[in-house]
Amino acid sequence: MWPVMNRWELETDPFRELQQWQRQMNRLFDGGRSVSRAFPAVNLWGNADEVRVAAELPGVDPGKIDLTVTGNTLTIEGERVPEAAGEQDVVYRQERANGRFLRTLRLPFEVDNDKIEALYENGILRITLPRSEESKPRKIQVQA
Amino acid sequence: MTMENKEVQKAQTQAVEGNAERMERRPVYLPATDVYERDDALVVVADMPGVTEKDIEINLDNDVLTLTGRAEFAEPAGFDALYGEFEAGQYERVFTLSEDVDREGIKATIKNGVLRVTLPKSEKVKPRKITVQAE
Repeated sequence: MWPVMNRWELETDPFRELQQWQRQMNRLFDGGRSVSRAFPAVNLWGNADEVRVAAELPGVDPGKIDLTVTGNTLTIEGERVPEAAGEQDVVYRQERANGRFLRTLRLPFEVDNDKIEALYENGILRITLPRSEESKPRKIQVQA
Repeated sequence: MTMENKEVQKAQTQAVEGNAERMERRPVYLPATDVYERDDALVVVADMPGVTEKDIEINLDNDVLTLTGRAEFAEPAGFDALYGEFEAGQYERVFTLSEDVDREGIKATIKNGVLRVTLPKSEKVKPRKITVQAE
């Protein structure tokens, strides 16, 4: 399970490759269980007409999540309110992060702000962002 | 009851993993967990985004509490993955409890991807107020 070094990538962007290698090493040492990363963790998919984003936001009140789109930048912002542990309670472990979070993602193209949809389910937020008409590639007829 | 036996300790991960290898190639995650003790119960709260009540398994074997949750995650069809930080996998966490839990009264709920297990203390260890009567 040694990290695979890709020579071509190394030549194009050594810094990125180094980071990737570091991530792989971290994963190796904690047995692939946990990698510290920004909150929320996100996944991005895209095709020619749409971008889809999924974000892990367990225990966040959907009403406390703000989504903003400016051009091709998506911002996920909000707050996770701590569990109400009583003053008398003895806390043994507190690993779940609480408080405000903010994550900014760059999308591959500009999206249509009016057509964005977001759905929160089982602690995962799924956002659908259709490409704006203006940013779609246009075929131009070459006239003879 | 002394402090030591009250404390919830993280069991060694060997309890789950042992020397046996997993057959399926799914990542195993250690969910971020809060553990606290109330007057009448121990409460374990674990982040398991993507897990629903039917994909959760809670097992108490002697004093070893195992929490397992399978997160299913559907990738959208007809899309290219552009960037990824999480995927479907299994959440697993093992705790060794003190022996003073009322097994019958254990309750678990999952809401918005957060698992919450309440383990009531057995009657004999609940704090009791004793009134001293004057003669």
